[in-house]
Amino acid sequence: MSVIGFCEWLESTSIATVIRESGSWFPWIESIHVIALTLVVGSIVILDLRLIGVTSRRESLRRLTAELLPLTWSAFAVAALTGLLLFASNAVRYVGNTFFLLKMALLLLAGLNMLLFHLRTQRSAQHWDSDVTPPPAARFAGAASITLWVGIVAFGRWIGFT
Amino acid sequence: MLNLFELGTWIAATPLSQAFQATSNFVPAVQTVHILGIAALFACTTLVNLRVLGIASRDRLVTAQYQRFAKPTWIALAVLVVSGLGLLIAEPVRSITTTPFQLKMLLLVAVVVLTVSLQRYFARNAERWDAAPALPAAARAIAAVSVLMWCSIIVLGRWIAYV
Repeated sequence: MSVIGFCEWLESTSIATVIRESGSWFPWIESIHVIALTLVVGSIVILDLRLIGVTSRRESLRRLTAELLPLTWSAFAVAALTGLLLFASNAVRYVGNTFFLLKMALLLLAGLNMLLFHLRTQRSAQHWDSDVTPPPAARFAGAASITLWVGIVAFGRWIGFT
Repeated sequence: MLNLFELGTWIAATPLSQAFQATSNFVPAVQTVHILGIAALFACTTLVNLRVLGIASRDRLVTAQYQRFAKPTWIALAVLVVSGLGLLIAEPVRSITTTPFQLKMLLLVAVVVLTVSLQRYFARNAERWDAAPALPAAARAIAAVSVLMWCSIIVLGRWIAYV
């Protein structure tokens, strides 16, 4: 099945039709999407700023991660689900929208950045867990993450204006 | 009685509003800043409120958790007020004459008052609370109400675009 074919099918599902045709479902789902995404971005940036060595400098990275990630991931699950519903309502249009595609590309990069950090940099974390300034690779991962998430929010907002 | 429509029309005619309206992408750019401000503020207040509720950060002292996030919360609120004013000046009639906007402003004032009273409550009871295994029901109720109010403010903000 082609991408467009898949999007056409997605749009024709009953849930997508209800969201598209009712006046209030879309803004309600979008509101929940905003609540969830602000928690995702806010909690990730707190961790990123610690990685760069700007704030929470006296915090152990492990302790901070254990505190924040449950919030990040549960909010991400809600953001992904609501995002999927918003996408489904007008899938064909979104899949051809440059800002939507850029947002998805940045999300992918943010995921890769996190994975790379987790698999490589964090392995040595016991040596620098409480260092005020983490090693360059960790600081780079933090800075990249903040940049990517700012871009994700911006492109997300621009989708609404195209 | 103040006519909000006339006020909006008046703001729209000011040179500043005209300049904002003439700037392409002004609204989405400032909205992006506004959302990033919400992200900072809402994450900070939620982490404090979750600690008060006993849901997260249980290994931290309540007062320490509060002090940790107080400054970034107020900085984020300042960013929100400035970017919000920018949006209001760029689209005054659409903002101030709508019910979601008016409700949002009322809730905002209420939640700031609530947060400041909670702050004083914290300061007065700091030592007692830090030693206690669970916080009094009143404190937990305020924290729960605060989370709900911030959620409602976000929802109302999004609904300004739909009325």
